[in-house]
Amino acid sequence: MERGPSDAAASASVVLDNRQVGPGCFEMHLANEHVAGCAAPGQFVHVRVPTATADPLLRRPLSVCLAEPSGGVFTVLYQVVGKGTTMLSALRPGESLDVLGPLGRGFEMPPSGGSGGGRAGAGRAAVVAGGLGIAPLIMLSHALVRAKVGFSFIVGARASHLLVGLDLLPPHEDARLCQVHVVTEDGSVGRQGLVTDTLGDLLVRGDVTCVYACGPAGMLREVARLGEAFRVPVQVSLEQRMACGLGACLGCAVRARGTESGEHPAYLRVCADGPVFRAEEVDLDGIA
Amino acid sequence: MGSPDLSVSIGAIRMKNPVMTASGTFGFGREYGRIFDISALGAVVTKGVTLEPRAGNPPPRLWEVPCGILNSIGLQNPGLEAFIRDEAPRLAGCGVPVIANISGDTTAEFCEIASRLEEVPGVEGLEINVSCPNIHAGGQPFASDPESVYRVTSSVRRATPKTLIVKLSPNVANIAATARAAEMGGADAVSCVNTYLGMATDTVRMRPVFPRVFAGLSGPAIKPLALRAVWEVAAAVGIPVVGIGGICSARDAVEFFLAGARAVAVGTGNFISPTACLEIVAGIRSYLEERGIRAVADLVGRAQGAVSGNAGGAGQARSGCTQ
Ligand SMILES: Cc1cc2nc3c(=O)[nH]c(=O)nc-3n(C[C@H](O)[C@H](O)[C@H](O)COP(=O)(O)OP(=O)(O)OC[C@H]3O[C@@H](n4cnc5c(N)ncnc54)[C@H](O)[C@@H]3O)c2cc1C
Ligand SMILES: Cc1cc2nc3c(=O)[nH]c(=O)nc-3n(C[C@H](O)[C@H](O)[C@H](O)COP(=O)(O)O)c2cc1C
Ligand code: FES
Repeated sequence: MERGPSDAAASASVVLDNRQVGPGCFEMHLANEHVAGCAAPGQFVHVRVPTATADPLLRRPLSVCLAEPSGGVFTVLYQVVGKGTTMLSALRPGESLDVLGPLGRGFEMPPSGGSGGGRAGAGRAAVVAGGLGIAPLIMLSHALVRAKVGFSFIVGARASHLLVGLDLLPPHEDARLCQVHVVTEDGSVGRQGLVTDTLGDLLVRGDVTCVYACGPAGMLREVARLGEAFRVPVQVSLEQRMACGLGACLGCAVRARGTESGEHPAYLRVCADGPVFRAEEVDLDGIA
Repeated sequence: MGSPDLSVSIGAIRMKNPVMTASGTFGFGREYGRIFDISALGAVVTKGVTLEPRAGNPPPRLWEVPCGILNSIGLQNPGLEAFIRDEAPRLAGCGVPVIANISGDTTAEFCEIASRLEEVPGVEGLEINVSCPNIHAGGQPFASDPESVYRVTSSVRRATPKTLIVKLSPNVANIAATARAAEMGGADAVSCVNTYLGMATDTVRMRPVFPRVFAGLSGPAIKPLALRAVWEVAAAVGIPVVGIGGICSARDAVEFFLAGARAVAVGTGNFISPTACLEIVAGIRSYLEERGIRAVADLVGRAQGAVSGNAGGAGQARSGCTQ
């Protein structure tokens, strides 16, 4: 799958549906042929919050969670955390939203599994989602299924009511192709513990060939540590506050790994060099 | 009446319209060039270029505040050599005047950058960022006293025949005095303003948001302040003024023209609408058409003339007690 930036454009999207799917969590469907037609897994859209004033001023980045090119519809899954997302949650069907994208570099796909990749034990991907970090990984899962790459989808939250987006995963009648592991910190559903416990177990069993992760910083650091320990490549999707979203303002920097003071370039742009990085490219200790 | 004349000149640079990009918000034109044809701009002002590459500041670099943003990018740029090698040749072919924004730690550094850019085709003008710290003045910005501004301007003037713009800092006691120093030093124009120093505090961690504590405020929040600065500067100098600060719409731009700006630059506005500059050009055209005004140049400084007792006089005549 190509990882280069695709052509961005700001265009109007019509809200088809915007419903609450969990505490403070919303799933919104938007009609936009451009985004639906060319978004790749891991890319995001930069959304202008509709307001008559200049507040909030900046666009808000949201991952493309699903895209249906044929229907011209894409989905975002978001959590209300502040002013902008509160205003987004009030949007009603028929209202229009200015969307810039798709933007950024998405996930690099593993070599296609062909017929053997789906077989249990033949080497699989592990997809690790913490909380709302599931959003870009849903689209990735659909792409993995299409490419017949077998994978384990490890999804975790503090408690069962905070698990969202599971219904958007590809239908997995073939359990060897897509195996879902649910983990909660309080044990209210699935295994009790952390997603990284389950990832560790799979790595120990030795049938994981690559890892994809999106979630809180602490989780990403642990996933990267495990990947390094087991010599399995890890891709992480990062977040940073953004202004342009296009790579021009240098506002969304994360420190590159192995470039201490002075060396150039010591920083990477989450919006244009990411949001998906190979774990060894970035200094995950520096992210919030 | 034909279509109104949007063209303006800044020094030797002839712009097809009075709208340029503000330094640091438009990179070197690559990213926005994927979205629209940048030849439609009056001019492109590049990200600040320094003699050596700079890595920039550690994150966070951005913090949104009501109607504005604080930034602490730290002049991240690939350095002069890479600019000349990788950016200038491409920009030269874009069909738009290019103004290189330059920064330095010393007057000598500014001069070296200016002379090395002399032979670079496509770069029609230089914009000197005097907001950066002058290491020979204890790290105080060049802008903080008119004498340093005069010195750096006159030295760079001798180093380049290209159009020279001095970008004024608003973080000074008397911006009109800095503008006059730039004019006396031989600047072809001044641009006004750079960001206002501000800060934000993280109330969870109980410490400043930015490792460097202070950061630059831009966006609609600064527009009234920037407009006042342009008014004062336009009243104080005879050279053209480029108005900058929170311009997001044609109406904002027109306010700056009426206050005395010959051209405007759009910064933060690009982040909100990536095609903001194009929308502003179109809006200025309609504004002129609707009023039967022949040329954008006819707007320049018109509000100054409208204030009785202020004809040709200093803006400070009006800056008494406002309460
Ligand atoms: C590439 C990318 C993809 C994303 N995808 C998704 C997604 O799919 N779903 C989703 O829900 N979110 C996603 N996010 C995060 C989302 O963009 C933010 O949650 C959103 O911008 C918050 O906007 P707001 O106006 O609601 O919150 P704001 O009012 O801006 O702030 C929200 C909270 O963050 C705090 N805050 C403000 N500024 C900062 C800062 N600089 N650093 C740390 N905390 C700060 C505030 O105090 C407040 O608690 C993504 C981010 C990126 C970069
Ligand atoms: C992210 C960012 C980076 C900037 N970088 C530079 C720079 O390198 N050199 C410079 O002279 N001004 C720089 N500026 C200042 C802008 O050019 C402009 O003067 C300021 O933002 C006010 O205009 P605005 O309100 O339209 O953004 C920067 C501003 C922002 C927001
Ligand atoms: S947000 Fe501007 S460079 Fe990433």
